[in-house]
Amino acid sequence: MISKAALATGGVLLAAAASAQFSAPTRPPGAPVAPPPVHPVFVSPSIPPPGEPFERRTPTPLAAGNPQAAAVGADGSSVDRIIAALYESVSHGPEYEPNWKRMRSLFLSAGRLIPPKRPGTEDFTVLDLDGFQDFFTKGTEAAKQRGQSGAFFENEVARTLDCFGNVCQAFSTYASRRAPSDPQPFARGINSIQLVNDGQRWWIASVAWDTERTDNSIPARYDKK
Amino acid sequence: MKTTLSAAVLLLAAAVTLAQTSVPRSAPPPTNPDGASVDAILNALYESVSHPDGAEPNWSRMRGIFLPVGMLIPPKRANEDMFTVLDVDQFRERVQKAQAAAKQKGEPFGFFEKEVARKLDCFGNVCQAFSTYEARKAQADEKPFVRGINSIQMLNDGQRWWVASVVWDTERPNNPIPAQYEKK
Repeated sequence: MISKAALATGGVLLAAAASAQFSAPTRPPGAPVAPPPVHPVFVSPSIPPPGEPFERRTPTPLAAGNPQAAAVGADGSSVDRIIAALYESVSHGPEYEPNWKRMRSLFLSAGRLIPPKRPGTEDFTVLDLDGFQDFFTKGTEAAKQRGQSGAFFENEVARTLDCFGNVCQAFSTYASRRAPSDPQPFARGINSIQLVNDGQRWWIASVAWDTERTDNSIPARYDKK
Repeated sequence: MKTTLSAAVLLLAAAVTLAQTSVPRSAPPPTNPDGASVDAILNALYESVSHPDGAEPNWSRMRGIFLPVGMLIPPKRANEDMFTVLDVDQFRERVQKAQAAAKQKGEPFGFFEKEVARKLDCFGNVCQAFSTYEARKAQADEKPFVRGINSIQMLNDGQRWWVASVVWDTERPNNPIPAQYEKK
């Protein structure tokens, strides 16, 4: 387990090295230019850093050669199915946790989840499935410590969908409850979901979301199914 | 002497970076006008990738637009059985290879991409654009040589906008751009 602090230190060192390279007056023409300094972003330790060999960053074999294929079943067969599977796999009763195996099978191996920036922090978080599992589990533990149920049921209440060829993007409004029968959700928000089709099935490339707040209400056009 | 000076400059640069980044929450983020609005960052995306024959995209500007872990996912090629997910550095390699191939064939490799229509959805700190593009080899070309749609996911960290992910597909005879994505 790499702590956030350790990771940040690694990032600082990396940034320092990059900066040194950038400042080097002897940099030969055509040599890679270090990226400009960026706002700090927490990245899942398991996401390969820039410069890692390409193969580690994304191989997403076709269904035929993909050991996940059998497990995927129908989840990738349509946009409707894969979005339904996203909500189903994250939802779970009080004694359970999300169906991580199923959720993993929905995402490209380079797939990302980007939760809202926490209030009072400047950095935000980019997670792969391992990072999200850790993030989500900590959230459940915190809810239990507050005496709340660790259950989580998220459902889609509206969707705006744009598709062209092998690319779709959904603006998917959600409501989260501690029990399916709760009259009111404890949280609402919108998931921005990017999807790609490899000719055989749909995959989720990236999910970024924000939550409804007093000063950030869900616009009416995103509130109806 | 000169070498020593260079080394000192390097150390100083590293020290300054350390000092700045070890207290990220109090350090002001670098200002980048490209992140000032969704309009600005989308314009910057198209401007930075465009370049005349003999030149390259503006890579440092493009890097300043994307999250450091930002992704670009080009259309899967017919001979590929997997998607290619790239960061900006890998996108640069891909463009440079394509440029080298064009050069060998004696073809020009200018590239001018512009947005012709945009459908935008925003909520809080998240926006997604379905951004229809056309690309020309030279700005004066009457017809684009390729058209398509970029799906662009963007985030605001409270200070500025970032591009998190760009995924696109191209127009083909069996994949025409739907009318609703044709108009600005």
